[in-house]
Amino acid sequence: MWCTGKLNHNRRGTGSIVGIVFIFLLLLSASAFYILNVNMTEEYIKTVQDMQQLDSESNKENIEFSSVSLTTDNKLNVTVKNTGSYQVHLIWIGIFNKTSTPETQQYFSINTYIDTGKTVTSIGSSITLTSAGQKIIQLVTERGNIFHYDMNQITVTGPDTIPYYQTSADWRNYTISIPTTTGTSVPTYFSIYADGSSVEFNGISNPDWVHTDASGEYTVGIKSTFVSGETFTLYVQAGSLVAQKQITQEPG
Amino acid sequence: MIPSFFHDKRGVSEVVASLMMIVLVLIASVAVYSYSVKTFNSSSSLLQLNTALKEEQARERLSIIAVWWDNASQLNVTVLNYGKIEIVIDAVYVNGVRASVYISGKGNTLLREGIAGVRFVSPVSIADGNTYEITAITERGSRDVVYWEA
Repeated sequence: MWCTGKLNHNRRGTGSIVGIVFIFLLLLSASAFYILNVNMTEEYIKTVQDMQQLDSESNKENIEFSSVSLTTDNKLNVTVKNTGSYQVHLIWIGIFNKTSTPETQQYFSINTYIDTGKTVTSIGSSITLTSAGQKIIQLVTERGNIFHYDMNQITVTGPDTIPYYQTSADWRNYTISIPTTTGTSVPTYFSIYADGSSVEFNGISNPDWVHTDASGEYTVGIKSTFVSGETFTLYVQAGSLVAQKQITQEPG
Repeated sequence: MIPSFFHDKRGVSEVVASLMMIVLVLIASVAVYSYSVKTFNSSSSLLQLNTALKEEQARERLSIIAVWWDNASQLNVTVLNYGKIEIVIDAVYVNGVRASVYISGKGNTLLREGIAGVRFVSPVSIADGNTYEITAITERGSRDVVYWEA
């Protein structure tokens, strides 16, 4: 009787223990599943945030070509300025030759860092080009941006802002560079015109028809005397090539 | 004691019933638990797989940086991988038509910061001066679209 009573007593608790064990196992499984889910979701969200940060940085990345030229031994010499908000890492330089049919595309690996606001020169100095004409230079950054420079284009180099003209010291010089299709610089005739209401060129009329020197360059002095200040455009056209530059004259 | 042990039937049905109940409950519990564990494992595996795929896809970034044309029927798209994971170009579309004949580049692994060309026969005829929509798609489903003038 004692033995039977003990067994009966134990059996009464068995259901509860089994139930608790199963509930515990269920909770354990559910918790494990939940924790796994949360961890993976957090990891995914972090990855997405990192990539969004990359996209954001990519959108704020910018460089401007200051000049592209060939050295005397036909080495490429690219100068660019970082005008964006982040340091730029250039990883590839592409050379597209438009003169050959079909055009050729070559890429060279580079490793150049440019800090914000800084200018770096001699990019691509290990690359030899036979001629500068009809070539497009492409720079590729680590963040996936690409920047192009057409070597077959007119470049106008000079300040974006000029003072209200009062003395001869207020002339501002602009250098116009015109390439040729062969890449060899020769004197080239071009028209020059500025649409400001009181813009004058130094020594020539506005508009005028002039030519570059043997190295393909022409330097013109510009002044403007509009008292309240204005923004005008300088137009240069040589054959089918056209260049425009916006210049702002400060108020007097 | 012996005769009463074999002949006294009182309480037997209760014991058998209890044992049967325990056995049934155990079998049912084991079945339910096995099913639950299997379902949980299956769900978590599926979830892991989906999340891993989504995460890898989120880390992908590609850009078509150049398109080359041989002035006949072949095109070559140069793809830059600027993401955080290697990519494999799986398909190229021209104006929404999938290229079916590839000369090189398709299926090759492109490492981070790397560029590679995928050369193929254009599925649509190319005419000088026209603009075409070129789409490159990776195995994980990321894509980049450019508009290219022949």
